[in-house]
Amino acid sequence: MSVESAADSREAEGSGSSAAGSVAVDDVVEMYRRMARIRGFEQAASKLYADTEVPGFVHLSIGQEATAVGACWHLRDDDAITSTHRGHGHCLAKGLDMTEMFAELMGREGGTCSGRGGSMHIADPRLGILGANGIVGAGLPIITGAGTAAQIRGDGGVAVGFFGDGAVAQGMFHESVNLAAVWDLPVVFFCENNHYSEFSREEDQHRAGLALRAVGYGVRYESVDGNDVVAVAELMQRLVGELRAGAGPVIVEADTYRWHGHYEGDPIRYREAEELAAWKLRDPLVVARARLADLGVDAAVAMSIDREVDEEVRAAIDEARRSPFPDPASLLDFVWVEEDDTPEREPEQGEVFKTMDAVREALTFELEHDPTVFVAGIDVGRGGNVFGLTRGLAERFPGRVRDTPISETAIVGGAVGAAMAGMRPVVEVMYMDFIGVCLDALMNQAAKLRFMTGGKASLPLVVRTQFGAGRSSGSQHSQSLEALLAHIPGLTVVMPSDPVETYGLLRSAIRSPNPVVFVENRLQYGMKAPRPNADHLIPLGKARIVRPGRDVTVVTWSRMLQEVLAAATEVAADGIEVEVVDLRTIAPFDRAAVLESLQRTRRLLIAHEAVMDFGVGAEIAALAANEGFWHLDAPVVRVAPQAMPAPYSPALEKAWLPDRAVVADALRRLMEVGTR
Amino acid sequence: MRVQRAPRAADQPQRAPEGLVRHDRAPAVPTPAAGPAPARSADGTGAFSADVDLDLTALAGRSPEDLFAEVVVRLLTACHREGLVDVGSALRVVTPTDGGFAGVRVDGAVDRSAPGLSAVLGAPGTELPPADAGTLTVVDARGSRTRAQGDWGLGGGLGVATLGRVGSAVVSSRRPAGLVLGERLGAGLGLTVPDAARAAQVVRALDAVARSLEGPVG
Ligand SMILES: Cc1ncc(C[n+]2csc(CCOP(=O)(O)OP(=O)(O)O)c2C)c(N)n1
Ligand SMILES: [Mg+2]
Repeated sequence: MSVESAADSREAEGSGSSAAGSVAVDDVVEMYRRMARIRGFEQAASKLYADTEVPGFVHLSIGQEATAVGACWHLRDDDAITSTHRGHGHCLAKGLDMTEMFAELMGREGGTCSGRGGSMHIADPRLGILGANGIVGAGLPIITGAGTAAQIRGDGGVAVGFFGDGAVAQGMFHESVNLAAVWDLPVVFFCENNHYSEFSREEDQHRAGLALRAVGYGVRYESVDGNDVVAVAELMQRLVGELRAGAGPVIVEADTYRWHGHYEGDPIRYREAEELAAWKLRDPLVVARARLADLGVDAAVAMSIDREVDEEVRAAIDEARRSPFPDPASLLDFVWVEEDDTPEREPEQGEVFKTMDAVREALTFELEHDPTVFVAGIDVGRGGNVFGLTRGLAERFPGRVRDTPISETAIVGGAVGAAMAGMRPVVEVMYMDFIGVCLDALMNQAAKLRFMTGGKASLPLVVRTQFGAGRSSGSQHSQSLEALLAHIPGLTVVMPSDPVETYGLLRSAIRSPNPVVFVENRLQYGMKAPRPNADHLIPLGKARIVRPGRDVTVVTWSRMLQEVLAAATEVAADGIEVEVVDLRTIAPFDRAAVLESLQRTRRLLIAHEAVMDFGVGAEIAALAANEGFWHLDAPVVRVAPQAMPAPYSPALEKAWLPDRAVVADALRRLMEVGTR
Repeated sequence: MRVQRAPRAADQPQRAPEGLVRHDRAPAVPTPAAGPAPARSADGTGAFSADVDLDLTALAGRSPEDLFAEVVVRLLTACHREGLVDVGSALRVVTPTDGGFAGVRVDGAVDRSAPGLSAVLGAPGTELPPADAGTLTVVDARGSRTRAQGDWGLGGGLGVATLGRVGSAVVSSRRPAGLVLGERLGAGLGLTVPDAARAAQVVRALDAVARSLEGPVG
């Protein structure tokens, strides 16, 4: 019986009650079996790790089986869970195939994630398993996003985020619970309190318990004996029912204990043997066997289940061993979704519109045409965004244009979860400078989850943000941080340079199957151009030649393009013909377009607003040095601000930020190099 | 979106593109004249050998197996046109080994495409396959520094061709746009036939192979 059908039949039946009241005898038998499977799997995993057949980290949940099985008992396949580094139990309880899980731990092609993830990254969104996670607390923003998806779809879906007592100290916990509370999301934040965070005791991690915290967030709190599977399942039956009917989030704290070390190989110097011995008396399997005895079930039933599980585990390992290791030729698979785009068409020339209109109209188009698209961010709803970019959208698309608390981690991490749950979120980070507070969601989640799940997860999400130096916004509101993001494989980074580009590229970004960071320049929000046709699209990953020229190639992007074009016009008077290439997509970048232009002009200048050192310009210069070496007639020149924080004083900022005059000067000097 | 990736370490440094125009002032070095060099005069008796210096630059991106198959297919086509082989002729491709030669025999080779031939040659044998009167032998001597000449003692069939070591050299030549610097990939191709009366056909066939490799190759 699949997990889903088990859940359905349980919801329908509600008869044949156990001693505790509402759980049927057959259900307790099945719960016992599922816990025994987790125990058997993990005991075998421990041995495989010791025998080096499992090459990477392994964290076991032996002793905690009842929380996983009880919490997932009433979930449907399409209900989402997020797990932790200690996630085998959750995955098995939610219905993942044991053989594939063994193969995954062994790093084999037949693994759940084709051997790309390992123990800490098992996931299968088709079963609602949005992933174990190697980053403590990172599952919580993701489950918040899954809860958002369920709420927008209105299909009664429920999301359960597992976390440990240690994760409570993470900022991600705070942002996620708070956002779920404010949005009344159908999320169960399920704490498996095993009283240890790595080697540290619970009391050294926080001064207030979860019950107190729940009050602080204004959400409900429930505690449960985490070693009694029936108690956990009964609690979840009530909670899941309430959440399906529209109730908001709840924090559950399950009291339990892990028997093994934090990781396999942990010498466990931080706790006494007596403590473990005491907890073993309350072994979830022993507790369940006692329940079965109370219900009059013969002890032979559990014993025969144990034997069957032993056999199943053995067979699963044998089968997993038969799976080959991934072919090194497939090394680059699953990093980006790669597909051919429809070629770009010349845009029609309509009435004049501004970049800010372009943003709003692109969002409107996609909201209208795709019910999975939603928009979220600080003040994007009722306030219509600080630049007025989303004005009117919240009224037009109720529930799909959402104001968030100031919680960038929950905003971006929530987008990751919503995307994995089938939506196309477009979230806003007000200033690019704020990427720092939510980098994990981009760097370790959005960028990697497709790869780590062997392509099982899709991450079609857009993070819109903006930047712009030159208006005394100071060091924390001026930065052009694209190099930081472009260095993360899996992310697509787009920086449009005018209203038409903004419209066509933003629409493509929303339609992209890959996670895209879309970076606007706020100094260009007022820039005008003829409005393109509404279905205008610009493919990602393709540069464009904005101005053809014979003598020198300038590669640039975003607002700096306008400075370069002005400089090109200026030096044209001296007979220097500049070819201007707008990169548009920063990563992955259009290497061929740059090389082709360089081949023609034999000289290269790169101009950007981000500080020079270790910037995107360096990557382009490296392309010229490696692959374009034979074409170069002169050294590559970079025009960019010097490496220092953006200064506030206009006098200093002007000296720091290169403009058209600096570009024109550099072009003239570059043309003097060598013979021509 | 298609991702364009930087070349791996194993693929660097890059080759100079063919036909690269540089405005250097270095003196022009004349390119060695191409064309088959008869190794023995054709008096109409005994065997005849000739060899030609092939410019393989256009095949620079191909794998060693594909490059070899491409040259052999061109040789077969040229030999067929000159009547040195016919449609039914067999091909024997052999490589010198410690103990002599080993290789494979391919029947109906004249009709094969380069990828098709490359696939067949992908599984080399461990012994010297037999040759009859209708067999052309090709010696793959790319692994050796010896010249691409002679019949290697394998005479008897239609003839013995040899593809020698593939090497690269930087060459320059003058073109209307200026001095052209380029990297040239070259190899010797020799052909020995038992009957010197067919010398002219051998020379023409080798010439045709060399010419077919000039310029872009599809
Ligand atoms: C952000 C982050 N910080 C630190 C770690 C290292 N680490 C891995 S598990 C862990 C303890 C987590 O404790 P808890 O949340 O209680 O889960 P448990 O291990 O008890 O299941 C720590 C500190 C990590 N993986 N991620
Ligand atoms: Mg813990």
